[in-house]
Amino acid sequence: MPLPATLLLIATLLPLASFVTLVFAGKRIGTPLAGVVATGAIGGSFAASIGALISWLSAADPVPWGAAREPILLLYKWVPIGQVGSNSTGWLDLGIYIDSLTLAMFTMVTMVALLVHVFSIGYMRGDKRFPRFFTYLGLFGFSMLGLVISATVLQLFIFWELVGVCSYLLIGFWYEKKSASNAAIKAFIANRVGDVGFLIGFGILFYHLGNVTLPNLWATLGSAGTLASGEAIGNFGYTLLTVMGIGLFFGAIGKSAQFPLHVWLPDAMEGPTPVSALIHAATMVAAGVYLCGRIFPILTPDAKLFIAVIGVTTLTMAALIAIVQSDIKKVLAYSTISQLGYMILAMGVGSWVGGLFHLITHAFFKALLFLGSGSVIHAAHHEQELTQYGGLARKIPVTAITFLIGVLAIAGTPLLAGYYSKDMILAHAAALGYLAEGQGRGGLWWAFFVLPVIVAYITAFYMMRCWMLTFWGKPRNREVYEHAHEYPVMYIPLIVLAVLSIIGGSYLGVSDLLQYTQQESNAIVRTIGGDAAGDVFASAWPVRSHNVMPPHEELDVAPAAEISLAGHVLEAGEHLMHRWVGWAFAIGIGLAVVIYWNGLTIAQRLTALPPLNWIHTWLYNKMYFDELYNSVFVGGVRGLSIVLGAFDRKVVDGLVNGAAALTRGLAVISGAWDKYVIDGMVNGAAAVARGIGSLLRIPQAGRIRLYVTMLFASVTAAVAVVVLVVLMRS
Amino acid sequence: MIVGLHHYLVLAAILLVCGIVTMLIKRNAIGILMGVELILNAANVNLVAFNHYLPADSGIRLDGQIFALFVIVLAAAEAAIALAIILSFYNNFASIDVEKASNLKG
Amino acid sequence: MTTVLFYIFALLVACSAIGVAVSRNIVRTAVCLFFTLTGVAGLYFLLNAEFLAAVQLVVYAGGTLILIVFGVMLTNRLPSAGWDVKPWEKTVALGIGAVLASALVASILSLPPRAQPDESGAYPVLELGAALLGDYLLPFELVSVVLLVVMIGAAYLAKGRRRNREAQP
Repeated sequence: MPLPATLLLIATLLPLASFVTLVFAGKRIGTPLAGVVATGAIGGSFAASIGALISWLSAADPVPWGAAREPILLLYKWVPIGQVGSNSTGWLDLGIYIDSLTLAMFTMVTMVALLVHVFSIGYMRGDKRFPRFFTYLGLFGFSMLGLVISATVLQLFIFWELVGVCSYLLIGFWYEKKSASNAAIKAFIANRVGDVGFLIGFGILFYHLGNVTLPNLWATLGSAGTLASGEAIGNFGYTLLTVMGIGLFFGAIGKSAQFPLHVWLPDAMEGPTPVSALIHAATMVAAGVYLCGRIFPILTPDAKLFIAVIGVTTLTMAALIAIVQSDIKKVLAYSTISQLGYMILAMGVGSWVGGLFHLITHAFFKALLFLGSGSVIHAAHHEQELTQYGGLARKIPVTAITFLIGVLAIAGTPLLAGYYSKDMILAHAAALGYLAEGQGRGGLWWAFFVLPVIVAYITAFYMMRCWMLTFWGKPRNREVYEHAHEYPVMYIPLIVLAVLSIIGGSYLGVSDLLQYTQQESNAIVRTIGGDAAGDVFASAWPVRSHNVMPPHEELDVAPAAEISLAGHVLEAGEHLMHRWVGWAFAIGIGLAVVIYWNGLTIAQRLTALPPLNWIHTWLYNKMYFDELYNSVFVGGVRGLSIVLGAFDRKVVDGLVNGAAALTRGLAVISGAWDKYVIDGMVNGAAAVARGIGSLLRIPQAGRIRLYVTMLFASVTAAVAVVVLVVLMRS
Repeated sequence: MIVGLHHYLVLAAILLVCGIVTMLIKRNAIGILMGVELILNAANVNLVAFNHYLPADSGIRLDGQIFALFVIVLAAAEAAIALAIILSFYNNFASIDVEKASNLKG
Repeated sequence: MTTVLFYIFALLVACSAIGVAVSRNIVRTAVCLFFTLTGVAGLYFLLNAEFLAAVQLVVYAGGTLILIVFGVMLTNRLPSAGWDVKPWEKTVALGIGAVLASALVASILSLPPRAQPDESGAYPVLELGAALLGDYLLPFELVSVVLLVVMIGAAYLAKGRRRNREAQP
């Protein structure tokens, strides 16, 4: 087994070991020590991941087709399934697949998890279920790493469900709170809705392929990205492929809290804040994006259109709601949904690298923001309302500064992490607009660019609002202000994450790593599918044919001879993006600073104005999604249940009662038969036996002499009879 | 009149009837035991008499006597056991009146 | 001579047997039984069974009867007053006896007379011993086992009695 694979397996299994240990011995190990055990395990994972990364990067074996290095694919036969689909080996395989993306994800997940573990030791101290918290975190670490290392879609789904379980357990960690347990259930059910779609997609895929190993998937269906409507790959029709892609994407909708199923994520903030940072901001919710990245080559243009629509809807909606939320964690939650929308949009518009790049940078700064909010909440004695904060920068300066760095990063300030990844996505979206226009598809396609650009301004605004209300101005709640304080064990992770948020975009080489991944994947696809297989990760949707190109005069840059067509369009998109988004962070932040300089006074005046107050109410109530779902689904189910209940009472009960009456009638007849005939026979037999018994009872007097008398009397009688007979004969 | 087999058989019959009557009319357990002894003696008399009056060419010489001998031995054994039972009975009922032994009466 | 002796013994046996049957005193019954057994022993003499007669006298008259008398003495603390059987029971018993006696006598008398006794002479005790340890060896040994069992059983019953008596007060 190659060294990176060994190290990554160790990294995956260490949290499992921690989980097993804590499950059985957690209570005995005790409150501070259980956290140390779990932190040690995840720290070991982190070290192993770093080791694997170094080993990976230093192994620069030249392989064909320009790939930096060859991906590691280790498969083991698991279940014999016989011949299923067109490309089956006859076995259901389990295995690990390692490429640069895997390593990037491993490093990110273990790093964030390690920092969250350290933070949790401080944050959760004093909780009576402290060891259990770290038990769950261990299970989550194992599940998340297993998800990332999975080589087949089936395996991916298994770990997918495992992280869902961990999420459920950790949201409902304080299950005494009704809201927490409700939120856990809500999250679980919303994820199940998405998983149904995933299972449908997986079923289609499995039925037609029989071999769901990721490279095999790409090699077999890799041309889906440029497939035209009506065409087919083998027996896989275009429509079926589209349905399959959308089905698989439904899993991502649930897990990544996209538009129709996003309602669970804000409620999930009922869980402990470190959990929100780790699971509901940095890692698990990004699993949906990761899934999209892994199935990217098999998505048809129409499936990608669907994904892009979902993404753009989500990011716009969530950003608008985030403006008016007053709970600090709710603001961050909606910001997370919005950023996830960016990633999903990236997948939809064909910016594979951009989406995953944003995933990793977002993990850094969103974990930072959540842990910062955790520090604030801890300092403020679990007060989460922004209206109760203010002026905390003087009390908890480290938190304030690191939080500000996070805000700047998410706002897209140049040279910080979010700037690079977000720009990459927006550039692709702009390029998509050009391409669509060039193919004469109409101006609506520009929505994929325009809306995210507007949201980029909004993002900067609401994040700065959050910071201003928390740390700036005069304290609005004296009591909270007076008791605020911070601990090193909690702000050290913040500092580390702040550094990562600054350098994560430019200096860590994450995007380079992801570019390698594309090359590696293409290499392995060509190994399997032959030289004819195309560049499966670079298919820029909706380019079904690379020969169609927008007129040169519409592009802002002159086409350079050596740049390919897609690259040319992309360059044009980049220029357009820079023109519109370049100063978005400054405008958004500046507006927020101006409005919230003196606390809530200006904002309150603004929201009192007639058109604004309606919007405010609408947004404050989260666009009434919960109410809508409540009335449509819960009410619908309730109405259906009333109808069904009536049906039950009238029809089913009628039938049952009729049957019962019939049975009863039969029973009466049968009873009479029993009573008079059968019982009569039985009683008669008993009476006969009794009569005989009472007759026989008379001689059974218990007196020996009577017995002797009878004995001799009968003997005498017998002798006498015999003698008489003999004598008479003779 | 020469004493023949019939004489012995009639005497044995008388002994038997006396034994039976004794058993029937005694309420004393030991009396009943005596009746049994009479009956056994009647059988013994029969055995020995038959043995004595058998034809010489029958090939049977002493079997009747030996049967009688065994009966005597067994009668002695029977008497021993019966007396032990009677003593136990007496212990439980403070009497040897068999009429009192009616606990099994249903 | 033999005939006279037979009638004497027969009379003795019959009379004492009837005495056993009708006597109301248990001690007198035992005495009558003694005479009966002695008479039977005399009859054995007449039937050329000398050894058997001796055994009858020693074992029966000397052993069993003494045992019975012991039993009588051990249990007969109270006079046997009020032990009278009911008249109808006597009637039934006598009826049974009469019927049986008449049936037996009638059947005996209907047999062809066999007046010729086997005159081959006395059987030597030696022959009896050879038969006991020859053809009848197995019953002989079994009887010894039976006697052992009887001894243990009687001892057990007697011991149980004593234990019972200790437990009861």
